[in-house]
Amino acid sequence: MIYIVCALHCEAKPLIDNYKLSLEQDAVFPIFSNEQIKIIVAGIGKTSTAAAMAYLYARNQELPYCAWLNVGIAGHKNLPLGSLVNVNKISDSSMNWYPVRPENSKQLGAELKTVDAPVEHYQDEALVDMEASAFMATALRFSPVELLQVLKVISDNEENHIDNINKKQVQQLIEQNLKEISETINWLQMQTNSFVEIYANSELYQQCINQWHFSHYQQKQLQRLLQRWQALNENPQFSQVQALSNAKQVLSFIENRVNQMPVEY
Amino acid sequence: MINTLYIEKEIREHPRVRAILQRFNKAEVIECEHYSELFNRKAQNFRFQKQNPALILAKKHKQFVLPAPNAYSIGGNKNFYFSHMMNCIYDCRYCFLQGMYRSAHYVLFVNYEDFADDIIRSASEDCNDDCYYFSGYDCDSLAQEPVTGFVDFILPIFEKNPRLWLELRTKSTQIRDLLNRPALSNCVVAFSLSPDNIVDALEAKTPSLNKRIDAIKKLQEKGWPIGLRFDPLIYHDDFQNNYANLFAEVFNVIDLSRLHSVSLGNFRMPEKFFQNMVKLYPREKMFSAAMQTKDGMVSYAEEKEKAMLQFCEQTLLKYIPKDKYFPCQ
Repeated sequence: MIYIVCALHCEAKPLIDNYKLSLEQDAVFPIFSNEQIKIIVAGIGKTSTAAAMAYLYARNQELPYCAWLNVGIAGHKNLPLGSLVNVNKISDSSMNWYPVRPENSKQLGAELKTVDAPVEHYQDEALVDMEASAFMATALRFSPVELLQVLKVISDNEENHIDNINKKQVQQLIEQNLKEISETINWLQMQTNSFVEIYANSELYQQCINQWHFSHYQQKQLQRLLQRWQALNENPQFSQVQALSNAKQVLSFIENRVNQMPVEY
Repeated sequence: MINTLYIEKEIREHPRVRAILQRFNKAEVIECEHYSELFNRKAQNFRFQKQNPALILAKKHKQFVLPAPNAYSIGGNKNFYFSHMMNCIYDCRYCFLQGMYRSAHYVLFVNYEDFADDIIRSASEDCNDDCYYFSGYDCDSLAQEPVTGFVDFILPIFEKNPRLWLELRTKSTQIRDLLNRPALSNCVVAFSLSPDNIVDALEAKTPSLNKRIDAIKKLQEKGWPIGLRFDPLIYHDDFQNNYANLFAEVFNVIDLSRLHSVSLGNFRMPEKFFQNMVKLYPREKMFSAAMQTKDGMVSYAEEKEKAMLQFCEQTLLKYIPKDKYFPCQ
């Protein structure tokens, strides 16, 4: 699952249309979703961002290894309007965060500073926004940095003041970059798939859990024993344990079997 | 290939940083305050980072040279280690670095002079004894030499101080610079060796056994003292044959008169590191063999460990005199 966080509906709209997302009912924040993607419209600022992300995660917490993408507009001293930036460093007060750059990415990379209020003057080479630091701090509580990305489209610069921009223009700026944003979403999807492939529990684990009662500790034991069983080049089947009568017997059977298996290279 | 370079603000203009920037002129450069912002942060996955690690250029501020653990010795009583770099270009599945560090990025400390000063300082506290310095603890000593030039910098310190010994621990065949300079009798180039099947299965991205043996041969011909490190021994069903063949192959080529030392050691790992490694690689065959935990250390089940060490020791001592053998504990 890819969670996309936007501050404004006009930032989210092109993605909602492109991925044909439907509005979820009974949600505190506007959430648009399909099977692979959920977009939450958080509102402006750090507090709104953190609150919306925590809400989204809690609402869907059964999903392991979800990726997070922050899409929105930002200001910069002299980058042209409509430029897409893959943010490689986010600063706020004395804290810094460093999203991972996708390998072979051709997107422009730059630093970003998150501020509390819109700025009149762009002081250095960094982009300016009002959400990204909260996005990073919150997302890192739920997912590893390899599953996070921050994409910003330049909406204002020294020649085009932020007060001159309206919702329609924001929507157009995002639309112009839809192809590149989709590439990042695809990359995040691949990363997520790799995580699931490596770390998700096997089907046999689920079959065992459904068949017998395992305590929390026993579930951990079962998980590890099944991983070892698979690693030692056997394709364990449920039929091998099906006749056993309880969790303890299952664990004992698998442990004996695994400890006697040859280790061959 | 390095695609991303993180550089601490403080050393942005350091000459070594500028040289590395020139070498990786297509890499994206990102300034950071301190390497730990990246390296020590939670919520990162070592296994995924290992696919495309960045290089972090940093300055080390303290603890340049540290006392080596008690059992760490190749003949001396005063043993130290230092790490100008953290992490390694190789991806050996048994390596403790993946259990110890949160990040797979490479960190290079560019203030080499401070390492040199601390080596001299630590040696002056023990003015009569020989002092031994181990450099390949947190990285491979030679693998990144074309980028770092650290060995080239540090060797003259040892050249001027014959009482100080240096061990370069490596699996690398980056030996050109060593071959192009006079050998130092107090610098041991110590190669980690495993049977071919273990190299293939567990030592990703490393030079083959044949290439390492070839490098050993060339270094010996130039007069460099050589160390052989069969550590860790990896348990598997045909270990007797595979280790016997390995020893036969190696000692068929080695000039015993120029052999400094040989070490053997079983696989052993602090429990916490091992747990981290299992989390990273839950379906890794090596971590799925029967293991035991004793005094906070994970190793193979006792009878397997004993059998393997006994066999390898006996076989090894058919080739070398006992005074060159240093078991790892």
